[in-house]
Amino acid sequence: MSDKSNQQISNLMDGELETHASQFLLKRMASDASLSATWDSYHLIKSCLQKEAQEPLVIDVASKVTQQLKGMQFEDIDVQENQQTEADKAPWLKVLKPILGLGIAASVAFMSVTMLQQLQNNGADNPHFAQTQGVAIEVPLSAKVAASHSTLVPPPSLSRFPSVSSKQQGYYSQGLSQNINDLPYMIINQSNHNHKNNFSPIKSEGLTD
Amino acid sequence: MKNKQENNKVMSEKAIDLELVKQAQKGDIKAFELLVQRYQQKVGGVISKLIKDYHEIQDITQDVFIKVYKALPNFRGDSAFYTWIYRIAINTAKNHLVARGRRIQNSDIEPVEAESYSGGFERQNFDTPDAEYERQEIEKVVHESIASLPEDLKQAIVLREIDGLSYEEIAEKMQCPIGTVRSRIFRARDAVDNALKPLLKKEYKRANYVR
Repeated sequence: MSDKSNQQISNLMDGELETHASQFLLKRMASDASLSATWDSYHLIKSCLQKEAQEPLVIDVASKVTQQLKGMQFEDIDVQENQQTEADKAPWLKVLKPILGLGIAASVAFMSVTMLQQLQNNGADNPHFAQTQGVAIEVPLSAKVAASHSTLVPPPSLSRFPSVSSKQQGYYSQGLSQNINDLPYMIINQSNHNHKNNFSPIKSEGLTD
Repeated sequence: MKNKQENNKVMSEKAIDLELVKQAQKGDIKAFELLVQRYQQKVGGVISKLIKDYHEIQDITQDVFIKVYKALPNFRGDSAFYTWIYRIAINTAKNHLVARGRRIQNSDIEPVEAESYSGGFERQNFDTPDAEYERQEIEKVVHESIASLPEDLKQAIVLREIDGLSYEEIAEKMQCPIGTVRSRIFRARDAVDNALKPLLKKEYKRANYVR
């Protein structure tokens, strides 16, 4: 530790050292314990001269604070290391995690399929569902319309062309108690599309004359 | 030319604090230690305005600097560093008193006033016998060392530390170049430091460095 460094410290603490030299010295002091001790001592001398007689001198607080801060840092590092160590201790956990995830997903899928099958089996025993078994399911009207390249139009009372026959009105009034196929929808062939008032009821079970 | 002028510009005390704060904000604990060394006596002095027990003053001073370190990311440099830590010091001391169910005296001390505030306190013995002895020893060595200095060194250090004059003002008063003032103040400090070393070795034996 040279006198030059100490003189620089003396100048620095009074704000009398050039900026570049100050920055350099501050960095040196932070890494050189003897320079740091000189800085501490010069400030202690200053305090002794400036302090009122009854004020206490605070001794070695700086080193205690530093030790405490280092301890806090070590605690943080310890926590991180413990977490890291646990992961290191069980490397199989890294492999097992995705497998476990897949296993859970597969179990859920298997359970779903099993439950579905069980429901279907139960349905076979249920007389309500049993009636439907073996009975041909009638193709819905919408499918028929789609297959015949025709247009499905609403009943005249609901359309923009209310000129409908009373019979057709009657069909409509009974609509709520009828099957979907009995509703007074009408199929118009694409070729007759221009003749909008030329309705002909769908030939279905409840609507036939 | 301009760069040369900037390089020759001295670093103010506020700028020194800011430089150390910047380093400490990056996690450099040693830089923070330099700040603590710079302000520990002042903070201890401020706390002693509110708290009488020597050990409590030591503990609270330590707590203050731990709080300051933790709060460093919030320090933007809008106010002077010492003003900021004084505010923390006074609040910490007040909170300590409240936590102990004690009445807060002199609660209207402003941080900037705290340093010079003597508040009509009766002279009190803050220290335990050991601490009182240590303090008296240190002060005795410092004052005796100053008294034994050559007159030019003594005058320079007294004008600087007790009268608070700048180097320029001291140079004017002593009718000497500013470089001579720098040298005289340093030689005075160095002489006192050399006289203190044996005593401080004992004081810092628990510290993490040995002089």
